Amino acid sequence: MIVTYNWLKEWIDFDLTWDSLPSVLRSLGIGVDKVEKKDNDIVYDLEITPNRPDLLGVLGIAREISAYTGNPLKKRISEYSFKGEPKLEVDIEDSADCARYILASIDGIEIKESPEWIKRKLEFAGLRSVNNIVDISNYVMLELGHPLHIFDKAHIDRIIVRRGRRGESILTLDGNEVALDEDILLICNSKEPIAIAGIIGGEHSGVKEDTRKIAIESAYFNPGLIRRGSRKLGIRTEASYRFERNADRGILLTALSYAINLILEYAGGEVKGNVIDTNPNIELTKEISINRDEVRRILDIELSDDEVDALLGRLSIKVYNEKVIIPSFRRDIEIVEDLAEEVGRLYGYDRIPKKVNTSYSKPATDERKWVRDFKNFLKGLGLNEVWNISFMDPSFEKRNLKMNYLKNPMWPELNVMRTTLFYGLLNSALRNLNRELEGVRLFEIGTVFPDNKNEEVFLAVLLVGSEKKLWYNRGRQYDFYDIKGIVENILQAFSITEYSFVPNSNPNFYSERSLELSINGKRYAFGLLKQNIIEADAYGFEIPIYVFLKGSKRKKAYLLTKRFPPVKRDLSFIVPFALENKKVIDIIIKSSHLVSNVETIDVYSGKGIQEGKRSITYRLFFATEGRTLTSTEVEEEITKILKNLREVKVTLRE
Amino acid sequence: MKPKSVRDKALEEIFSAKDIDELESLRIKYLGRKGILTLLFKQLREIPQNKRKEIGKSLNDAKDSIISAIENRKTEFIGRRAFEPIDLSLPGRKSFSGSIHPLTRIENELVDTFIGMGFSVAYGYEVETEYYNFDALNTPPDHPSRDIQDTFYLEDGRLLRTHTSPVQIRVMESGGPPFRIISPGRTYRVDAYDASHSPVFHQVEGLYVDKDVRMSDLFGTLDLFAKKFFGEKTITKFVPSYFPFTEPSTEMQVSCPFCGGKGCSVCKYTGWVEILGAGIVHRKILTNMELDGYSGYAFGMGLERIAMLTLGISDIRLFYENEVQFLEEYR
Repeated sequence: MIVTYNWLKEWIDFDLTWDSLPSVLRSLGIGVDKVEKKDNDIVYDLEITPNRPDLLGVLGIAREISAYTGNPLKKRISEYSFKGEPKLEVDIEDSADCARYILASIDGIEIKESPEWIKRKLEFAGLRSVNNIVDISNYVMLELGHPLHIFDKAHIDRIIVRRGRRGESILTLDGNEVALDEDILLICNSKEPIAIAGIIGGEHSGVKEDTRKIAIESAYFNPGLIRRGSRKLGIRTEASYRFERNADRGILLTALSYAINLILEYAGGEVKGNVIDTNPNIELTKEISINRDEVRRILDIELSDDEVDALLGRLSIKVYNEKVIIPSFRRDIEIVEDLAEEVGRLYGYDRIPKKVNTSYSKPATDERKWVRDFKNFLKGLGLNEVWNISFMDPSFEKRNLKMNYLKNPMWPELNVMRTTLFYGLLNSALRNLNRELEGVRLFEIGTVFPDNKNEEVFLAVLLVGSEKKLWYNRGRQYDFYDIKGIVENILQAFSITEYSFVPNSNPNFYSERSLELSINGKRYAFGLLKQNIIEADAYGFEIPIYVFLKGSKRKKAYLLTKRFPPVKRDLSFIVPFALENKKVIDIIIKSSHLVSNVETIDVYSGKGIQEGKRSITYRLFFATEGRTLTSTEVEEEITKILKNLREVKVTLRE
Repeated sequence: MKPKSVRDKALEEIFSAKDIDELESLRIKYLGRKGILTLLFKQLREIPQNKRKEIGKSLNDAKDSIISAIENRKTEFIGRRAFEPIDLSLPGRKSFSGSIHPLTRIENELVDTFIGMGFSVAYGYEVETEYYNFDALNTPPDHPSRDIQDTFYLEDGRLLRTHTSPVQIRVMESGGPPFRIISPGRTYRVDAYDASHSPVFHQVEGLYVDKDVRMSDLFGTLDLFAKKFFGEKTITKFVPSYFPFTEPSTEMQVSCPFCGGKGCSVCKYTGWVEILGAGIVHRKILTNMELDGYSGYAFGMGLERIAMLTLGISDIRLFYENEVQFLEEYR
């Protein structure tokens, strides 16, 4: 909404300087986006909240200044007194769609350029000057916030206000053929639609160079209907913007008089007959009850009844006893809280006391702290946390899931809610690889939509490329064991021991380079991802965080075996290729109850090792409670281990 | 020769000595029976009485310095390990730490501030129904206030929440008052994706419902929050505003955290920045929730906006592009 300093002064005298006006307006709840010096005036670009259609005209802003300063508005508009009988007929199909329709006609006008002062004001508001008639209708809207529509009377035999029908269409003022239906309210003549009510006029019935007779419409349309129609057609105009916000129903005749006076002055002509008014008795004001104690309580301020009433009075809200009468331009005021806001606004929000009440509180939720610690732990693993947008390309998901498709996606190809965090992570990786990073280590904790019923917070980790190459680090490529290490690190951090690794069945991964972590009967894949977002291999792991949140255990008592130094032995074996490392370790552990730990310290195949076999070196730790084992005892255990390993063709390497 | 220049020369030679043998020959050169210093001591008795004391003292000083210098250098040579030379200027071996996303940090700071003021955390759903996102929040269809919240719809008719306020409804449904909750979370609006807009963004909302909650409680709480979060010297200003779910409604502005109110590009030279919207929970909402007899306040702020203000970031997209170089600025 545009107003200028001098324009406001045409409506009201006030002492506020141009630069102090914005803070006054803001204190009243009117946002000031921009203040600009232009053409010997000051232009204010105001931000009007959707509940205040009355502020969509200069008059409304002047009223607020009047309420603030107590100065009266100037009388600017003299009501035109119509004479004679109405010359046109208006039929309203449903008065719920159009509660009041007023039509006046003027013959013998002359179309020409507008006077400079009107052009100048339209220009301030960013409107194009067309001709004197169109400009006057726009000017009245800018002044009073009420949109008028002016027809070339040659197209009007009568006026019918009705809903559209399927198959009907209209060529609008901006040159578009628009298909109509029953959600669209129309202004029609006896043959066809001539305007889309409250939204836009029709091309044929509009005022043109050769127009000599005009009909002026001043109406009140159902705000919800106008809004629905405007959205359905995708047409938003200065008029629809005001009507859908519930423009003032009380200003119809005033706006009409204002326009007629200006037309007679700047376009000539003669008013033909009286107006047709479909509902002269429309309810304009409304009455609601006021509880002044509640007003005082909400605002927490001391005001006498008279002071409350006086503040409301400045807003043209009349108070008698426990009732108030709300003027037609403030239909937004419905309940006592609305009145409290009005009182508070004028009294000044800055005079309301500030109190802090902490009488009631509950302890903070543990889960949040847990997530925070978890994120810090992942950071410690050298992972960078990312936040990605939740939209995804559905072709990325290879599992058979019931995905959540968007009806109106932001980007056409990203039309489902993510079923996995990998889509975003891979795109983050891509961005970084394009910026010459040799590798990325990322994690994200975010909501995932695995089907059309649930949403779940997941963790995903992604490794791509290689370690950072530095003088002490050759920059090794990440592989399966890097992601597996992260999985194991996390399990260890939460002391989770009840799990196993099983073959992969998730189609988003290559099974030759993936496993699934199996916990409590549920399986979560990790390993090499099938994807076509980046060229490099990408290793990932994804799991709902509740698995760790619920599975996390407090450590039990410290094992007494660990009090005494264990005995350490390194043993190298020749192992058939088909025998997994894990199996060998299981046999070692089963063979001797004194083995406290086994570490795999070297794996080798190639030169010097028979084809089909590999050499694995284990570091075995032997321990018992209360003492350190003797070397004789350890040798006995090793003999047992070797015996069992020989049965699976595992021999000691010479 | 003057005692002082003898000392200086001796010290210079001692410091450049390469091994213990060289040190020994220097000791003899200066302090031996025919050493330079020894000879000077001998000449002392030829000095007139009045100057003898002064020169004697400086000879003694020189002798002491030379002895201690020799001793110091000796300890350097005794038991010294042999090292291969290395370049001590090479960078150290670091274990590479990752980073926590700046939005995580700011969200935690915000939530912590409110937890410290007696709020507890509540979560909801990102996919919501028309009812929880709009209807229960006094925003019926065809209401112009839906304009500012252009909505993403799913094909099954559900929608992506346009604010975290549905959490408030779910909390009020879940049990009896009082409620004092803070709900951080992801929200969605059909919007441009440019330096200052994103279709996906985050909010932190608060709700307090109890007997006799007033504007003064709201203003007091938010004022305290602003001082805790932006600093003790922060000044707050409340102006009227409009939200369908609150009445009366307000917007809180704080003195610009960058310039302290003097005016800068962040606050567009007004000295103030708008931080959040708030108000008294609309009567209709409480009635719908069967909470007549109670009153409450609610407030909400954009996480990205607060983060951009506090971290001095001017492009919202930086948060979602996840460039490691950016992320590691905020380790």
